[in-house]
Amino acid sequence: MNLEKLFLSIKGLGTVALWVLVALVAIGILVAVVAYANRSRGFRLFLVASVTLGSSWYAFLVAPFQQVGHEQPSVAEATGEIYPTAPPGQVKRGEEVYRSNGCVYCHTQQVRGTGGDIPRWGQRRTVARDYLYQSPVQLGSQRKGPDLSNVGARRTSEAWHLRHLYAPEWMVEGSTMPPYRYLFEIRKVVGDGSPDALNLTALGLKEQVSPNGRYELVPTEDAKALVDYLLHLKAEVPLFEAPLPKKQEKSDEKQNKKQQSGQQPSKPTVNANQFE
Amino acid sequence: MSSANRNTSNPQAGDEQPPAVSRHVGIAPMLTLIAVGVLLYAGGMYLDRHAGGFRANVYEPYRSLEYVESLQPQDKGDKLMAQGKQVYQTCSACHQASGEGMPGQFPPLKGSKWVLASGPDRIIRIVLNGLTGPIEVAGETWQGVPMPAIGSGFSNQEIAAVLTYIRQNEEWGHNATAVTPEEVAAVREKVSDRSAPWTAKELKKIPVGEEE
Amino acid sequence: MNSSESSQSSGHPEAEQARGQSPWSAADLDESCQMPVLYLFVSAGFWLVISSIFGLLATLKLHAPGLLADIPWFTYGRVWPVFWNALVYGFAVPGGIGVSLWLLARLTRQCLVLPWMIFMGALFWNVGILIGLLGILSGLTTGHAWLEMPHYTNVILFVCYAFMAIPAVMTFVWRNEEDPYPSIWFLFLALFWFPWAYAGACYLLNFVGLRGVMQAVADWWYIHNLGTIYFGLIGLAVLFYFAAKVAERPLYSRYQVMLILWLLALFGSWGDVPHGAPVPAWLPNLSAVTNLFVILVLLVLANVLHRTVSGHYGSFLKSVPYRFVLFGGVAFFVAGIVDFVTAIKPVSTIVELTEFTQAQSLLRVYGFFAMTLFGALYFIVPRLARMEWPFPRLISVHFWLAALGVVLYVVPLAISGIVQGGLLQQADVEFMQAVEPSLIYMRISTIGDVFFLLGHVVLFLNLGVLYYRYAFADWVATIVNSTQPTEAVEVGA
Repeated sequence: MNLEKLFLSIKGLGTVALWVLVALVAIGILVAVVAYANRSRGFRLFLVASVTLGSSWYAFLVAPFQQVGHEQPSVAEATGEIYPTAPPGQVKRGEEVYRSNGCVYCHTQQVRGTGGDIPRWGQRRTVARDYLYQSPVQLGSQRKGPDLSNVGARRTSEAWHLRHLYAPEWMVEGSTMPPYRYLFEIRKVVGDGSPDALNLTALGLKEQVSPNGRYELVPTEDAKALVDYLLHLKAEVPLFEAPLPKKQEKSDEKQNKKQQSGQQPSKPTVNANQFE
Repeated sequence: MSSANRNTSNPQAGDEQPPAVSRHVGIAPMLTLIAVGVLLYAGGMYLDRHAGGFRANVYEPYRSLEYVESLQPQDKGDKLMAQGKQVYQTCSACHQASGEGMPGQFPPLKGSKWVLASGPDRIIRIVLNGLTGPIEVAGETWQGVPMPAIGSGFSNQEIAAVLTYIRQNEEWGHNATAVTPEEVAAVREKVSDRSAPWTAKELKKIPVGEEE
Repeated sequence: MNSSESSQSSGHPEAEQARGQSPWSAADLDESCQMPVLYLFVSAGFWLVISSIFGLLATLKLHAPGLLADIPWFTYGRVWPVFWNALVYGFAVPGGIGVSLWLLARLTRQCLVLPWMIFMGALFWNVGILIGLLGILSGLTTGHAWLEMPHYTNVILFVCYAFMAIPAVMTFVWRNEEDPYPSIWFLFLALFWFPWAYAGACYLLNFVGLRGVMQAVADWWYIHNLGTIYFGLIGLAVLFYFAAKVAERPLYSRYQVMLILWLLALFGSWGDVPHGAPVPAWLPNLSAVTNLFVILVLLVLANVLHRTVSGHYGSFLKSVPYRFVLFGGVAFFVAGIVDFVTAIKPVSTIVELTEFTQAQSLLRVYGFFAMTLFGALYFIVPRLARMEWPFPRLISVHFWLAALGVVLYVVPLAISGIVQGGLLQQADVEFMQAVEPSLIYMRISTIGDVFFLLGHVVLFLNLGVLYYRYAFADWVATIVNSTQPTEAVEVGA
């Protein structure tokens, strides 16, 4: 039975009436069962427990599951673009690194619709559909560090992420993030050296690690996978349930401009975005 | 462990009888019942307003499905543009993604007066039935490959989209009016008995918008 | 030891005949609980020390992020869940079971059935915890809050729980008290609540693998059912027991207590979904509405407790175990009011996703539940072991360390959350600008962690020495005695 449909079909009665109805039916069933089972105190308590736990089980697990448990990626009407898509294997590996090192205890991955979140952490709020391919879903409950739902759009440089993982306080002043030096290795330069090697001068570690340039600092596969995962984290594509509030205004402006300039079509506005 | 040290002087040893319970009913259950009623009502009212009709696609801070619908991008042009970009992949084989064509073979669309004409009547015909013979584009006369008729392979919607895309492409500096599926349908109706490609001369006779 | 076995063998007589008048004295009942309950308490105390070591380590990393950072096993993201899991599954759950068993035996006036089965359950429960915590440290965490231990430990813990719970249910069924004291209702409910919630959540998260955001919903549901209902039920059972005992008066109104049980079970279990969560709007709002109902639990509870204890509040201060219980009771009310206030949308917008949530959980799990449990533990253990606490003065020391610890941990973290959340409301404030002023409060809370650790060491010292005297001292003495004569014989020869 679909909760949504049920509620819609009885909506004429109003939610209040529905509540009362549900409550009366529930109490009626309870009284009948309890009266029947009245012989045993233990069994009565057992019934109380099962009915109450069952009600919360239904309301908080079954009903939402019916609604969002089978959600599918969205397909943009005009372009046929699919979002979200199943992440590539390297990103999945990065997700494992993220999980096993407990990044979730300091970083959330959810943009709320309120509380100054949207301008700071993303274009729009995040919704259930954004997490379709994540497992485990790392929503998090505390922000000791920044939210990461859109970190792939905010910080696009792989080198920045690698350096930041190795020495966070060097990249962000006052950072309380622990360094993840165990995701890197220092080894002897062979040949031309590894293409992944970190820029030691930029980290201020030239003197410490390799004063004579014979050693290099190389990220492990885990570190690279983690960075790939971070770069993959984007929740920007507009969805029906999460339209882009800012873009909406923008396109309105654009339309107005078009109408104004439409009177003089001979003057095309080149790169109109630059002026907005 | 023996019963000898059972009665050690335990500082906390009070009476070891289980505590009792009184059988007062008191007024609290009645008050609670009233409070539950009031809270049920208030909660119901609150949910009526904030629960988004128990819909799967209404999220905070939106109130109702109607409200979320009203927030969807309404500009039809934008949708056409996006669709047109997809359809243009067919065109870009010759005219290139940049719209600059190939020198000596395919004329550019970028900056072309044929594309940017105030009305779309001519280019709709070109797309529907193709074009052959010499044509002057961007100050050059092109004799190259004739344009095939591709109208039958695309819907009015798709043709409108791709034409809107080339007429309004900001990257090309274009800013002409959008083309609607209805306009395409009207032209298709008019030229339904024609199968030969157009020539530039023939097209010049067809008026475009108010200018002509 | 022998006596406990003998009482166990006669532990389930023809209960029908015996009902109403128990053949057992309080001492007999205690004797039947002795072995499993003392073991549960000692192991709970042990995990508590482990937990607070990791808790202190985690909070020290906020002062010095580089501390032990090069060892993957001790990175913050692994140390923190070890702290929390050791607290919840190492201490709170088995400690709660221990108190439940004793109260169950005392209040049903029936000797605990099959104490050996319970002991085995407790033993392997601890093995499960050890495996689980090592799993987290080695990076096998599941990533679901409060359920971080690898999925195979879920099976171990569940089976061990069944080993402990089945004898408890049998004790209840064969009770000698037709209409037992109301605490029993709460304990009986709790007995079922934990395995249902735990098995349900573990099954959905670790064995079925829910898709997308439903994982988070299942996790919130579980956290709420464990943190609010399970701990609430056991904690309230202890509160009711001591309220009547301390005031030396019958507990006020059986029916109002029943009302509390119903209200808590019915409305308390309806999730704890945060307002900003990426789920359809009705879910957090429904959750908030049911949270409003929980205030009724507090009101009726206040009525019951006040009418029972009024005029005898001073008695709570006479003895340290009672003080623990009083502190726990007060913390229950504070936690309830805080939950109520933070269910309101504008408030939750500010404090959710900050340290405030951590302060809230700790207030409930530690300030209310653990403190109540400490009180019960200090009261029960001397009766079970039939001996004095080895260091009676340390009980008071533990009380002050724990009480100050809760205050110094919860209050700064709550302030930190409000400061950070408040600053982040303004869109133009950089994230680091909002973290900086709140960081100092997070660091102050370290004092709370230090107090916790000291308090738990003190508790474990008392418990450990007592348990040694109870379980091993005789045994050691026998060995010593049996070796001495042989020496004598040799000397003689």
